[in-house]
Amino acid sequence: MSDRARLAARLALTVALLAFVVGGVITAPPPAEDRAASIGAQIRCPVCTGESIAASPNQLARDMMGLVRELIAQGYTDEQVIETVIAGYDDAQRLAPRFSPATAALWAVPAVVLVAGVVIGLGRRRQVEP
Amino acid sequence: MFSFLGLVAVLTGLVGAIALTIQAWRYAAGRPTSLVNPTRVLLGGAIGAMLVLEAAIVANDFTVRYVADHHSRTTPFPFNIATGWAALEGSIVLWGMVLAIYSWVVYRRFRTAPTRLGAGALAVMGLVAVFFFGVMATIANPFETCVEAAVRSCARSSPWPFVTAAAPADGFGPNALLQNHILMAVHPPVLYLGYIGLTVPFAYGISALALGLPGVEWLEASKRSTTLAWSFLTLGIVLGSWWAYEVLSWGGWWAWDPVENASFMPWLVATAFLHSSHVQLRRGMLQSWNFVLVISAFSLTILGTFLTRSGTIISVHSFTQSAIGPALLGFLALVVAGSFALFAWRAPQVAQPSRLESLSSREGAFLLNNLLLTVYAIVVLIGTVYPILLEAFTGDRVSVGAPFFDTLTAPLSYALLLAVGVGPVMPWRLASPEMVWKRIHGPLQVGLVAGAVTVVAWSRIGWVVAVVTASTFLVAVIVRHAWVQARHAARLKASSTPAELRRLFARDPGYWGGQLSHVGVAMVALGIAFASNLATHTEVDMVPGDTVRFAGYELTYTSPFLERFPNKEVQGVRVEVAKDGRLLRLLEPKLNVFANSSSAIGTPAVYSRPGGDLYLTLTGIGPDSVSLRLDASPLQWMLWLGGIVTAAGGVVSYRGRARRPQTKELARV
Repeated sequence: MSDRARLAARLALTVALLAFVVGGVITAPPPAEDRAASIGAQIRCPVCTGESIAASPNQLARDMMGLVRELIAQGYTDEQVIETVIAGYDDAQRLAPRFSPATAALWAVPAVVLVAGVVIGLGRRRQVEP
Repeated sequence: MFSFLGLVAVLTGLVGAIALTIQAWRYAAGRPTSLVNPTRVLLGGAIGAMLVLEAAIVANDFTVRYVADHHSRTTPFPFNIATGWAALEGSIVLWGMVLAIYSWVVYRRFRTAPTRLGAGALAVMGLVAVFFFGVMATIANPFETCVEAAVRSCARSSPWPFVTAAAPADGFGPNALLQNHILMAVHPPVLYLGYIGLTVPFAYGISALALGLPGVEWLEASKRSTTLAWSFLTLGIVLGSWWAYEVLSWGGWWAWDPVENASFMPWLVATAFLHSSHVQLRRGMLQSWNFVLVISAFSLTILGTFLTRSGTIISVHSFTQSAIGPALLGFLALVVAGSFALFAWRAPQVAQPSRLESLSSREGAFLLNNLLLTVYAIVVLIGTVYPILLEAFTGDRVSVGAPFFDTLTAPLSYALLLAVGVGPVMPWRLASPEMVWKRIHGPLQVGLVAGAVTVVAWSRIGWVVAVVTASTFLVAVIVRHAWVQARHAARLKASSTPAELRRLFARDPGYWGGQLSHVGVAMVALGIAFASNLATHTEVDMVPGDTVRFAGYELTYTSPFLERFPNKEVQGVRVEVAKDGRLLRLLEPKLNVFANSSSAIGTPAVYSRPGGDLYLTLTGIGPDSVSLRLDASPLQWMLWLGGIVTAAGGVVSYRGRARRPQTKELARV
């Protein structure tokens, strides 16, 4: 077998395997989503130290998780559940801060550093003589 | 007596630190003198202070304020020893001792090869020690004498050791969370060995900048010391996560808690430095950047200490609040401003710019590695300090928790994993696509087959399949690379491949230690992917005799029990774990009520098997029934073992370089 044919065979094998793996993942049935857990993970337990209500074994956190499940059963959307559960507390109960002018820098700084790094990295290449 | 001895030790350390700074600086400025005495005095004072504090605790001397406030007669071994560093003042004493030991290590290197660079580094170590011993002697003096006793603590104390002392009959005892697991006695010293070890590369970097010494001497010394510190830091982080898993009762091991982040940020930056220093040693690139990294890594350790010890952030780790906050913040500002000013002034003189020939090369891969690690560190840094800064400047309150960190770090982690796979086999200068393809196509297919097997036999969740594929690929690349080189050498020399394989590892432990760490990282990635995607949990209420089925086990609640200890009361339940009717294990999840703490602290019961962990948490005890939380996490051990393997790779690398310091790396096949 020539080098080219061998290369083509290997490439084809690799692509076929990749297609199989990607296909397997894409066509997987959606996992049974635990909405209560994923919503609970976004709400800070008010009496704990930095834990979410989904993680904390504290009684208040468990009661709040009960409320989350109840509201889900009543057909609330995720955002409505969070708003209802943290009503009476401030926005600091959200562990995933909402995008706002006050939190813009939180998301922007990593992006700026990434872009700046790429630009500097590319700029440092030696100019190749034509 | 202990107050007096302690104060003498602290002042001895302070005098040693001041003398070391002055003498070492004079040496660096060109007037050679012996540095052994100041280093010895510093080390003697530092070890003395720690020993005196431990002795005061073991002897139950409640006239010492620290002992009265943080120790109790009922605190059992080894938690009484750990009390010596569990609270603020004691942790500064431990810090001082570890710093003095590292100063001694720097001195030993200086003694074998006395250079101005080494002397300058000792001066910087001395200066940092002046700060910590100064703090110990003033605002965080653990040896203050109690002059007015309260019921179980000290109401008023005096720094003067000759006053009439008063003592409570017994002390309050250490924080309840800290007397609950043996790992808590081991984790802080190991973490400190890593944390404070990062002072050494900083000291060499500052020395090179201040003295205007170009070249790679500072870099080689810094890289070596960073390898050691990084290994300890890795192990310290793993032990900390393990402790959280075994003690904190939520089935998790990492919560992006500010204090976890405080240890993770220097780790990320030190990891970046281990790679970028290699690029400078081989290709002369990134000379300025390496200074930035050592300064940042050290600054982040001080920031971390500030976050942990000032009470600025209330988290499960922030056990202390004191006047030391402003002092640490001032020191941090001084370090950052002073170091970067020095850098801006001297870097043009010390660091030559060098350009990259092609991004498709080993150095290109290292550049990508550094970019990803830097962005990673920035994400963790901004997420950690943003709430503090926002509240300090605008008064607005915001929380940045796991959802933020998970969203941003998951893609970065995965990109890093892929870079780790390809990077180590990229040739220097310019990698031709043919060469790279030759080295990775086999491993790529192995990785994809592993992914395909996962899809067919186990899970079709995207992250799980992706991480299995990438991790298998990564390991296969390393195995293939070693095997091909050994086979090549065996053919040339007509010896056997296994013999050549051994010789290969012995010849370049720096490189192969690094690859061992990469294998560890792959295992950690697998552990995280499994635990985050495949773990299951449920909550049940049970009365004695009840049986539930969970994760393939039958769990039977048999009876509750109550145990009394001098320092705590333990409520627990006995749960029999069986599989297919065969009794496997009796588990006892507990709630501990410590004498000095109102809230109960859970001790989960963990049943570890090769297939994964069964994790039982007692969440409530009623008159008849008990509430239990059940967690099952597959292959949980992979995470801990991976972390240990990662640290071990650093040790291999460090020891290898120690044995053959003059070895220059050879071009590789």
